[in-house]
Amino acid sequence: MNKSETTLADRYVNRELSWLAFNQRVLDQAFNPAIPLLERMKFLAITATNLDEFFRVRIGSLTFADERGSRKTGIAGMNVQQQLERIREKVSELNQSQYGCLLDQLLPALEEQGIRRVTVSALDGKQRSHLSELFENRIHPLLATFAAVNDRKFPWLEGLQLCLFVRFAKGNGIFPASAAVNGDCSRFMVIPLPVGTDRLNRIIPLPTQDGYPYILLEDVIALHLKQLFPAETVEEYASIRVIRNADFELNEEAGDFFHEMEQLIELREASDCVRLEISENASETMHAYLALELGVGPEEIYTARGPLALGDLLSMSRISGFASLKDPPWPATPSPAFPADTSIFEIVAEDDQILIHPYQSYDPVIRLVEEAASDPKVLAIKQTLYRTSRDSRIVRALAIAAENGKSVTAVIELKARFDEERNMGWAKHLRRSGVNVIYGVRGLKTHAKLCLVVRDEPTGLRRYAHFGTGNYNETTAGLYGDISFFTSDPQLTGDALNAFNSITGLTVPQPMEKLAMAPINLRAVLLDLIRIETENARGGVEAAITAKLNSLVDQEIIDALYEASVAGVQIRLNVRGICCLRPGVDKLSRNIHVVSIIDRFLEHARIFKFRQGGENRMFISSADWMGRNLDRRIELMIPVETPACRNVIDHALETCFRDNVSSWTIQPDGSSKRPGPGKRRPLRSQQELWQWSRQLHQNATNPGTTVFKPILPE
Amino acid sequence: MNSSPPVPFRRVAVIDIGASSVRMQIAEIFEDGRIVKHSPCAQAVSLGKDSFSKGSISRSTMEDCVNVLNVYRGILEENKIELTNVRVVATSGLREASNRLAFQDRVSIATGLTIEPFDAAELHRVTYLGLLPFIQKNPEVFDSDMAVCEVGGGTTEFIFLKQIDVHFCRTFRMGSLRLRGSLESVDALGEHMRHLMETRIQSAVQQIQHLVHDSTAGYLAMGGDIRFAAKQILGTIPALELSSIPLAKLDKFTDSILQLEPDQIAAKYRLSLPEAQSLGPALLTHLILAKSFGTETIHVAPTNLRDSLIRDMSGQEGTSQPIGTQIIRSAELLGKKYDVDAAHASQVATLACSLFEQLEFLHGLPRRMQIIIHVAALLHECGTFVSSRSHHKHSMYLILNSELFGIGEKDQELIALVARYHRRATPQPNHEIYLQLSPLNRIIVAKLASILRVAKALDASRTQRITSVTVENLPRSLRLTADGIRDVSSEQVELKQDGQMFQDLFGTRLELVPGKIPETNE
Repeated sequence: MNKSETTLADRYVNRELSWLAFNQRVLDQAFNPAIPLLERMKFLAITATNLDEFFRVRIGSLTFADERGSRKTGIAGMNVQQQLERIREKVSELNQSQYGCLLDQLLPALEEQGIRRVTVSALDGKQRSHLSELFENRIHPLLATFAAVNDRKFPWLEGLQLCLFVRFAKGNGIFPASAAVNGDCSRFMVIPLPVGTDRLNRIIPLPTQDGYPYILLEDVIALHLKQLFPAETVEEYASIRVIRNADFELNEEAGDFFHEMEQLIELREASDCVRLEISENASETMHAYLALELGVGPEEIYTARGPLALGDLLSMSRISGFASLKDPPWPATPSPAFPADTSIFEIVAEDDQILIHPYQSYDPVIRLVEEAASDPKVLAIKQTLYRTSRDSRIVRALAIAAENGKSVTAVIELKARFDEERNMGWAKHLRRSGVNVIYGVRGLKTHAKLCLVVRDEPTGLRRYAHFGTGNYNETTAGLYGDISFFTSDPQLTGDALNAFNSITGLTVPQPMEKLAMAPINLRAVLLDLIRIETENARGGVEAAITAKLNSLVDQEIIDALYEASVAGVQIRLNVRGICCLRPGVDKLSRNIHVVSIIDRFLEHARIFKFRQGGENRMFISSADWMGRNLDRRIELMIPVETPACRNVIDHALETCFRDNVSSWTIQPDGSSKRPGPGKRRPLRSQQELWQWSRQLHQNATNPGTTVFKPILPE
Repeated sequence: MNSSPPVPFRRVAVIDIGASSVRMQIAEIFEDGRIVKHSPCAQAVSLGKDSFSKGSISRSTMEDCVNVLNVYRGILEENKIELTNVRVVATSGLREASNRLAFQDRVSIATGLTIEPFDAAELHRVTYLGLLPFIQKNPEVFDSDMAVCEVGGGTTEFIFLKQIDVHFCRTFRMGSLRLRGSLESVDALGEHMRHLMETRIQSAVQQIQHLVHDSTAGYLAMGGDIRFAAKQILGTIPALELSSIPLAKLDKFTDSILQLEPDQIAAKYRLSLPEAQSLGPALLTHLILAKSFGTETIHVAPTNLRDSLIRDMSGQEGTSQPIGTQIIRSAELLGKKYDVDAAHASQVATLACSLFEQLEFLHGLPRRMQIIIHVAALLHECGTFVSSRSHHKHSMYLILNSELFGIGEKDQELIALVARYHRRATPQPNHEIYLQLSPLNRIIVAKLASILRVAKALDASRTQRITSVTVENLPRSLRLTADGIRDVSSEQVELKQDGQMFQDLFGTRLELVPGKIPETNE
């Protein structure tokens, strides 16, 4: 079947719909009775934050395209309006499902366990006085920013900010009436909720003798409206939240990059509203007024039958106690390859090393930078930073290294979406310490995860590299499934140095020996690897591709995979998120099988395996198979050749395909099905890998002895 | 763990300021002969474009170069490489600029780096040096004659090897940038452009054919353009081996490149614009030259100027053995051309080298100076080809104006002057060329010429009867013993006159004594 005989829709799944199918899989976890209740709540919260970002970025850009009258079509041939229509349909279903899950399943089930939401009317006296005190001391001081709605200007609502919207009675209050709503002299007030880091928790526990009663912050504020506005009569109040388009391109040609970035953040905050969420108790008057002032159409308004901003409920999964409602902890185990008393450099000089996070501790990665910072032999440290954790030991070590006189270069990607503000903070800090800070590359995001240390050893210069699939972020390293690869191989580290030197503008890109780098040759190398399998299959040689990645969107790669499938290549893909490829379609992709794993850790590693006539070449990568990764980002694909390391990532890769508990099979239409273990032994890949890492650790610390050695007196 | 002590090494860097880019290579040279290369860097500059089209380097290009060199200085510092271990060379892009001295000064002031302008002979010597590992590794390839060619931005360097020996070298003022640049003004496109380029290249081919006589030979190409083509045609090319491309395939590839505009080439193959600009003309030059030698395949050596310079730096102080041999051969060929008494010249050279080595304690010159006295000795009488009157002066200008493989301009001057002062007047204040030398070089010339005179006196009989001398440093004199010679009276007479300069210069008396006769069973 060639392209002309089929429509695009027959060949590809729309990207946004595929993403929504992914979010549906996450939501399925929230419905899954086999999962502890508070973990289910966590999955529900994740679907909500996911959806927020989806609105900010994807819907944002589609809405923008629609406003400009764009005729561009997506990979599956749908135009902008068709896409928006289908998305709204799906999102609406997803929203119904979210609230169904919350209100009909999770909250009642949690209540049975003692974790119960208390409404205003149900508060007892003790609780009321507790809240009154809390409001006076902790909440009221933070409410200073509320804004009156006057006749001139509707107040600015920050995107994603949960607000209480209040309507006062007509009359002579101190606030002026709004002229916006015809004929009506209603007066309104917006109170942004001070929720967030360094502010307040949305869930406020109440004093009690038993269980865990709690109240939501908006209810506490509503309870004290009279105190806030003593001269007014409150007619009604409702929760509202807007989501704004956040998909802005940076004007990199502008001179001051730093300044541009700051402007972008402001612009994002000031951009169009793409969604208004409002609680169902709001009156028609409120609805009409908000729609008019925010310029949103009825299709952009979502009326929720429960609390808004479900992402805030994530904190509920972290309440102390209730161990039976949570996953048993799976702490990371130290890798026996990195004994605490041996220098990282000694270990890596001896042999390549690989770690599978979060099952194996991230500590060696931090140790690499920390050791380098104070090692007199170290000449230089070169490090990419994309999304970094709040109080990063790596960043601190880089600063110390620079203060110790090492040549330290940090490529800080200011363009990491939504992390710009934090990244700029680090950038300033590092510059002050004498680190040579580079704000990425014009036109390209630096997404490669690379740390390179150059040492002046008695045998000459020696380089040590850490290649990762995840960010240098100590927090997410405990939550994301990623790979760390340490090597001192002269070719790989030489390539790494070339990559760094070209990112930092010291050289034009030099030919690489082993690494593939986007946007230079990663796409070409990948296509070549696929093509080799295709040719092998045609020549009657056994051919197979096994890959684990987050998203598969790129049309050229998908087409190459289709061609390979038709030629007889056995293709197994583990794609966590978006997959525009239609698997298992006759005459197109019969030999392609796609699974997706959603479990307690975020699947984030990219591992590729190509049969190559039995050679089984393996790679790790920072890149997904998406246009943006292959063409508009600096990414790396790293061959893992040391047999011991290869075996480890092969184990990680193959375990994914044996999962029958947390694994979904992607259907030809892009939807997903969970086959379940059936009569087979249930196998949960993340648990399997955690046990593997524990076993490895135990074997090393406690070699199984069968002979007892008595300790004899001297 | 391996407990053997680490092999000592020296960390060096070479920076090559070319016509279209400034490149740097860091390397570690180990005492056991290993060379480990690190972090190659390249930045595009338009030195050649300025020089070849305007005759001088523009201010902005100059500053571009300074910026790049300052970045490289940062890398040198990061790798703890001292400036004494850095060589910065510049080829035709700088050589042809009228403001090259201003450029050198600007670079020196702004970066602290000293540029060595590299002339053709030095380029040939270093190129041959880079080729040596391949000659040693694949002697069968070099069994027959071999045309070695590197197309640069401004010039094309050509070395013709006969059974691994350098037969001759030529530099053609025909480079890829110059070819493209000179035709841009014609506003030629596609086929027409190609035709114009071919015409230019053909004229070089004719000159070469005139020199080679027999037109069949192997063809070996060097340079980034041909390596790029080889990679495209063959998929991968080994880093340390020769590879060969069938000429038909190169023809096809060159054709496809010439169809494209440089910006299209740059986009398609992810090359820098200067690289993309030079690709077509360079490949076409190789193609036409290779065809003219009637070969079916062309060999590609994966080496470049920087590799060769690092090898050059790895040699001890003196010129390494095989290169020295090539230089001597080339000097002998030149001597033959001028009907020099080869037996005498070679004997004087042997004695001069022996004296140079034995008198090191006295003259204190670096060992690489031995090649200067060696070549000067071989050619000191070539001026007799013109006239026996004042033949030392004829020797000087013949040497100055001949092509000597592997001898750079500065060294050539030294050789010519050493030959000039082998007889008659010692250096005088009114000797023009001598006065232009730096004070250091003047001393070198005087020292070497005085030694040459002594050597010449030792073969005054022109019978090569004294084959070796032993030097003894006595309290009040320097004694030369003529090994195995009973009667040295005639040489003593000559030495009285020819040794004067030496005695004046070093402040010591020379005496020549007969040697012991080895006992024989007659």
